[in-house]
Amino acid sequence: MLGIGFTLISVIGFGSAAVFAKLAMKYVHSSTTTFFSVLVGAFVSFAIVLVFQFDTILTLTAVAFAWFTFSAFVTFILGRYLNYTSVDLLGVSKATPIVASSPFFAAILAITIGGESINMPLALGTLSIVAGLVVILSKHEHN
Amino acid sequence: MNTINRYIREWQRRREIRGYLIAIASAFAYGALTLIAKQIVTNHAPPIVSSAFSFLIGIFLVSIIFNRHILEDVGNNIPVRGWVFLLLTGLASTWGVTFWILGVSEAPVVVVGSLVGVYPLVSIGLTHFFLKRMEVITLRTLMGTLLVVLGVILVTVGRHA
Repeated sequence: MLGIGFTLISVIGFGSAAVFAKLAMKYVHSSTTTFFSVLVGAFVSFAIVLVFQFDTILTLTAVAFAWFTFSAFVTFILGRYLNYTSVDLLGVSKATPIVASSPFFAAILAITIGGESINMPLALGTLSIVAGLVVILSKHEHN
Repeated sequence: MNTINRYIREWQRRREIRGYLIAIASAFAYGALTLIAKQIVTNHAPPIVSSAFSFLIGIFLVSIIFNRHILEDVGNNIPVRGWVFLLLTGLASTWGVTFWILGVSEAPVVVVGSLVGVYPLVSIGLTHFFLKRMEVITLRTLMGTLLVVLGVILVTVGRHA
């Protein structure tokens, strides 16, 4: 039950971030919005680690730091910056569902690279996401 | 007048196509991230530690790549409202990641993954209330979002079956 509570709180965080980003981007570029969101995130998450996981820091290897760098590039340059740029260009309501379809791409990568097998819920979910994207991406009439 | 209208429509169409491609690229990056995160968490560090170091390294990467825009925006004296929204953006996304990690530590991944997939509906709800003057939510967008959310739940269940 506690885990579900935490998850619901996280949903509010994820859900509101794009809305606040859209409002911030009335004043600054998407790159600046990305920078300050990462800066705030670094302060909060590093404070938590220093308090609760300080001993773990001392055991980290050079290879771990190489992975952190790769992960940071994918998360913040490719993921978050492109996410905020799409929110700026399309608006929250169109960009957010497209970005939220990431489990679809994760599943494709897991099947093609990770060797995971496909099953009925996965196939139905993939179809549903593709249908959703087609509905969102299909041409709107502008008058 | 017709030429101007046609030019504006063409500009809007190109902006929209660029936005869609960028959003899909972002989704792909986040999708790939789950494989990278699995590798890190399995072999190198706990989620909260890897997340903190990724944030720290992220500051340097973002400031190196986008230094021109960041300096330009800060030099243009961002209004207080702008700073407040920047702070709230950072807090909201950090809040999301932190509680997601806590959720995964307390509940099965299949439950957490399925529930988190609902977040676009929260975004659309908040957009309806707070961005009324900036965005109109169409029935088509809402239907598409519901299909994506349903699909994300099914994919999460399927991957952890």
